[in-house]
Amino acid sequence: MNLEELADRIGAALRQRPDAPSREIHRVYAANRMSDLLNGAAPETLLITSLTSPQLFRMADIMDVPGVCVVKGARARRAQVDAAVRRGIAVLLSPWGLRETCDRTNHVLAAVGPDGDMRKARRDRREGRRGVCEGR
Amino acid sequence: MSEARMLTEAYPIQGGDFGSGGMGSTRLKERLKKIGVRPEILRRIMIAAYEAEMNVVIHARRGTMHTSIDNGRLCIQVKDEGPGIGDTDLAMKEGYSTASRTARRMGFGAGMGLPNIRQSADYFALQSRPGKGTVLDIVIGLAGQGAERTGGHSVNVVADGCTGCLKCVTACPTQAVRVRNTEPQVLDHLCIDCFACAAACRRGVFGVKGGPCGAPENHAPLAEDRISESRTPPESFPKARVLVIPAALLYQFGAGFPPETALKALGQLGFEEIRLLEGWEEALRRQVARYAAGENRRKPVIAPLCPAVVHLVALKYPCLIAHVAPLLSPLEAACCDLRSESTAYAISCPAQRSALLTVGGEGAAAIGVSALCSELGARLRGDTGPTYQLVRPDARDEEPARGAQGTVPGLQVFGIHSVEAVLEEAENGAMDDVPLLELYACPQGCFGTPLLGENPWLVRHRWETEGQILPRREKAVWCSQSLRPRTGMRLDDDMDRAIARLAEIEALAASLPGRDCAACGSPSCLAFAEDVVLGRADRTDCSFAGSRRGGKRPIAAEAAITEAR
Repeated sequence: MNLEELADRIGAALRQRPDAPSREIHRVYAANRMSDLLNGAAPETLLITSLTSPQLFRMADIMDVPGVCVVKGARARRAQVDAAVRRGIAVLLSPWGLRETCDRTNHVLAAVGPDGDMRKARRDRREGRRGVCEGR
Repeated sequence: MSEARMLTEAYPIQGGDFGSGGMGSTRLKERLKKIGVRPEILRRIMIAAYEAEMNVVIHARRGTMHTSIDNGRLCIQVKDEGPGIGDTDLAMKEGYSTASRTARRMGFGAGMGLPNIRQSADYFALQSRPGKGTVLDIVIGLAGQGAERTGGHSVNVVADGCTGCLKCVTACPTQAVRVRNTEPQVLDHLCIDCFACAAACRRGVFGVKGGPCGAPENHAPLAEDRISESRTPPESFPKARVLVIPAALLYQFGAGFPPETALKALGQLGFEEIRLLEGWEEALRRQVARYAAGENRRKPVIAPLCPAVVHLVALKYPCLIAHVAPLLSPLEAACCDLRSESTAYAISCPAQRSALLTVGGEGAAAIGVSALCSELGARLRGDTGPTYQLVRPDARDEEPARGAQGTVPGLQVFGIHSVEAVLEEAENGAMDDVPLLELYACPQGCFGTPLLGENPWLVRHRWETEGQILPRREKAVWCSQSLRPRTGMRLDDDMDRAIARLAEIEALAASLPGRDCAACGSPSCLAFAEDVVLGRADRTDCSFAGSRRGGKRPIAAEAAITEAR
């Protein structure tokens, strides 16, 4: 699913470079420890966390993740977010807490399917195939 | 500019600087992307590099991350000036952390750093002393070649002297050898490098593969003159500063030539430092004993002292894989340890060559142990040249490494067929009372390699009793890549055709006499049926085809069977 569409559906504010290419999200991974996030980070995976240290964005850059979703309650400094956006990392600012953000993201991705194919997603759900939201 | 030049780089790391931490990993990633490293491998590298770099930021005053590409492997060494680690086993435990509160507030300190590195790396070694800092060595194969611990074999058919005696066919524990028309063949998917075929063959037909890892090596026929006149010229030996040899090499020349004289002869070959493989063997033994004493270990723990035994477990006893301690074999550990040195390795068996290729890559310098033995023998007869000293144990290691021997509460088993018998017992769950197994494919371990001629019991006795040549105290190396079962060859890529072939094999096997006499050149009737169906043999190769079970054997076949037994 497209990152802009995902942000829109879960009600998160999206910060990204104006010239950023469209990014697909196939999976989300939520954690509040750097080592867990590092292990879960992968291309086409959106990281959800309440961490906001500069290292979070550096790690996201190193691991080539398309974006990071910072949840409500996390104090993300504007300068840090701007720096991350300048490096090409999309930052979602969720109005929800970690659990609620995960639930909503999972719901949206499961409904539409990671490929954006709603019919296939429905079939997968019926057959009990994969969840798209993981985390620790 | 070569790849290696381009990527030999040092990145300084400042302790406590969370703003700049990870910059080295970022730069490394950019460079690796330029040379087209595959994304899945790049991901593993980045996890290991970032965790290692942040460990320095969190725990040390300062440090450096050195990276280089060597034989298709990325080597990362992270050295720091920090407090060091008192208990490395504890540090490796998931969830254990000594990170500061500041680091924890940023999401660090989960106690997953070192375990993550170990999981991502092909090879991983941690060296640390309290107050002396920490050195972390990480190796990751850029083509994924380090990931497979059980790939390929190094046994080769090197001579035309086969008489068709079939001893090798019956000696092979995995039924990997076939002999048809006095032409032995080793099946790649079944060979475990145990060299049982060479030990059984009196004609010197089997040897160690040559190629990039050393000159072709024909094993010395078990004749009286072990020190051959026709020897490999020493100019063809690889040029290196360090030579790693098995101790057995020093005791091959009889009581008249003590090991010091053999060392003296080695000194004439141009190596500056000689190290004994037994140093790493003892380190492994100590580490495995500690590992076996840990909680929730599956008993018996199998020490990976002999790579051929590890291959045997992966091929024939996959349910015992979890019993194998996750450490590298002595030669693999030596190769990891001496990666930054110019080193040549004396190879005593095909399993060691395979191990060296896996860890050291195509460019690893190897010398066949029998070529070295021949050269030493010739020089000993001349007995000229400078005196030479083996590197002695460090002053800090007053207790010799060999002192640990005998304290391991394990069971030592020698010889591949005895090993098989013990593994079968372990597989049946009949060895829960044995905490540790030390299994060797050759009699008396590496002292009994068929590439050397001296009696293995005698050599071991001399090594243990003379007590003059002591190995340095080396360190064991953890293996992060878990051992995987070795699958046999598929009968066909297409499932339906494979099922049809299996039915054909079973039908043909049922029509055979079932003597498993090996007279056809296959080790059993079932193996012969498979060979016929897969086109490796002709049905007429069986002298008994058509005869009923228990029927009279033709005289020629009877003679072949008697010889084979």
